[in-house]
Amino acid sequence: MADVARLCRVTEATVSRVLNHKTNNFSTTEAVRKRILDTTRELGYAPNLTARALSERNTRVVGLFASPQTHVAEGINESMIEGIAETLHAGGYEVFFGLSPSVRSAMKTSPCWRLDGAILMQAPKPETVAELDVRRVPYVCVNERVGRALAYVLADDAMGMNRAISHLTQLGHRRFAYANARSSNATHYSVHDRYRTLLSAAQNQSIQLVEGHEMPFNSPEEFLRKTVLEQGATAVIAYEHRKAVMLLGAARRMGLRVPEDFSLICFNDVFPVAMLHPPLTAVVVAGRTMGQLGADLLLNHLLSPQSHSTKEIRIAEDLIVRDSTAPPKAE
Amino acid sequence: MYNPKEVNKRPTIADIARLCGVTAATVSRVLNDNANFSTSAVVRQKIRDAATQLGYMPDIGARNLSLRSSRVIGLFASPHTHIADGINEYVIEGVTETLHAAGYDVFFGFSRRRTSKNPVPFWRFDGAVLMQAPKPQAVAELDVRRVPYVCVNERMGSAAAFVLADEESGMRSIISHLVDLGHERIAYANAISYYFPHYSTEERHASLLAAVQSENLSLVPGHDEPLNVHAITKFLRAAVLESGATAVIAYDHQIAFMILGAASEMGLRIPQDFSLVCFNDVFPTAIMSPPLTSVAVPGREMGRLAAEYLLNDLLSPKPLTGQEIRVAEHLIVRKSTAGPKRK
Repeated sequence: MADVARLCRVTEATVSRVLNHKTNNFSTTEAVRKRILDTTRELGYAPNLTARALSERNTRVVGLFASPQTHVAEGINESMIEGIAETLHAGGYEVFFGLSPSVRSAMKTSPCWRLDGAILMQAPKPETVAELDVRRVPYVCVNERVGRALAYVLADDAMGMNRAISHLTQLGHRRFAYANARSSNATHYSVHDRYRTLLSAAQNQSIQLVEGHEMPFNSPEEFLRKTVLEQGATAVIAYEHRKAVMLLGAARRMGLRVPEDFSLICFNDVFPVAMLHPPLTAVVVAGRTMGQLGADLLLNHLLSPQSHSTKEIRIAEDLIVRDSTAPPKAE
Repeated sequence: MYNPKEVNKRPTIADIARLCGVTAATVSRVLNDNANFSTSAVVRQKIRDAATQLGYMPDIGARNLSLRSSRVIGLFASPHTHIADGINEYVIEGVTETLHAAGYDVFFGFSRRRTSKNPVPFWRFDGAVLMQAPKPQAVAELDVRRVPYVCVNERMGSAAAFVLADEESGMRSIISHLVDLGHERIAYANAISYYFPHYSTEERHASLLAAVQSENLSLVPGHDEPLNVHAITKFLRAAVLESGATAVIAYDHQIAFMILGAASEMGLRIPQDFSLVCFNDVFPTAIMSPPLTSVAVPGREMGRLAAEYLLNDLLSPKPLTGQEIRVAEHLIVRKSTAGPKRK
């Protein structure tokens, strides 16, 4: 700023006022204003984020946190991050990326002073959540339920599971198999919500659930042998797309055809379920919508902060019917 | 429940001083392990305990202000870049883990709704990493502001360094694998037109032509034009059934998945009827049926290197001058390649 002032032969205070569009008790000629703006441009001047944080107490920066083991593009993370980033950018905010295996060491030195707010995705480190709480940085959880968030934006997994079940029952299926989550995922709410919804459908006797759902999914061949070949399941629901890809491969190796020998549905309509052979019927978890809404709720709070009670918002899940589901084989 | 008035009430040195009944200067010296200062071990411990209890963190902001550095790095790409596309995920992870470990913050500079009026943040940042095809306005703004940047998997602007994949090494390893298996007639499913401006498209194709010539192989027609994703069946019929190619090389994994689907529809088996190999060893090539032989493009390593070159540029007094670093690709052999069918 001093450089700009020197070149324009004005004081630093004048430069500051022009650049910050101050009009209170301050006026300058259009010519000076223009000279300052042009010089700023020419010199490549940009204000210091740190100084701004100290003086204005806001940075227009939002941090994005998740487990250090989270892959940025796994499952619905990609669309969620895109929804978050585009909404924050449109609102004039920048997004700091707080997830990586080495972020723990960085948290010591790159503290939350830069952050006006935060968005938490899957399983952020407890230390991170604690630090946000200590520093009173407001945050929203998207696809996760931890800490004391302003709001929790979650997927309506019960709706998705019910849609999958009713699609299959309408096709005439009665005997279902479920490829459950790995035990390492077991703390995530989606594991419970999907499974509980399925179990209650089985309890209402609208469907029969064959054995195999109660344990974490392991070998796809073993799973299909046990559920489809031995217990006669005609429909398989997979907790997520990766299991479905593996099941499809195993079916091919075992000489089972989809959907002739069994129907297959998975959660997560992400790459590459639409381009498999056959393309898979899938439950759409609306990652982008969830990300956009989470970011919107945070922006609203930052623009007009109010104390309010925590909200839990469920985003509807849809079903996209493709070629992997069909009526069961006639006995 | 948040009381907005409390948002900025971070504990400070003054709070610790008050709690311990000492001056702020004493707290500062103890917490900074100032050796030119002595105090009793009891006071020292009391100050440290109070700092922990209050959740005190040093104000890096104030420190950076005196250093004139933000310790912030921006990551830029095309607004249409999907972070899960191909090796992007691994590049991003390599970049961020390296920068975080060095104590830098990373921000996400691109999205579909970043306006061209505001192509980069208005505040100062130390450097940038450019991935696939960032907007020219963003690159121009970096140049105007003299923000140093490194390109990874992309070649544009006046970068301090360019970290690129060694596409020739990948293509050579594919060809020598196919030659070892006995293949003589090869088909190439080129990139879709969207990727034609990217250096990998031209380099993979040029390396293919060179390798085919030096190994005396024949390349069936169709290798030099963008693949039409709506005509995969037609491509496969022409290449395998009509021209008699016994091996198909795909520009990327997505094309390989489409070929896998089309082959299954046409009743062609892999690798019995033809071998299939692709670039990008990413999800789910390893769990397809059959698992695909593919070239691993080392995205994570490229991301790490790009971040390291940028850090070097920032920390060393002599700026880098746009050198090009190539990272070798290697072949992972799985079940989709085998010897050609006997006639």
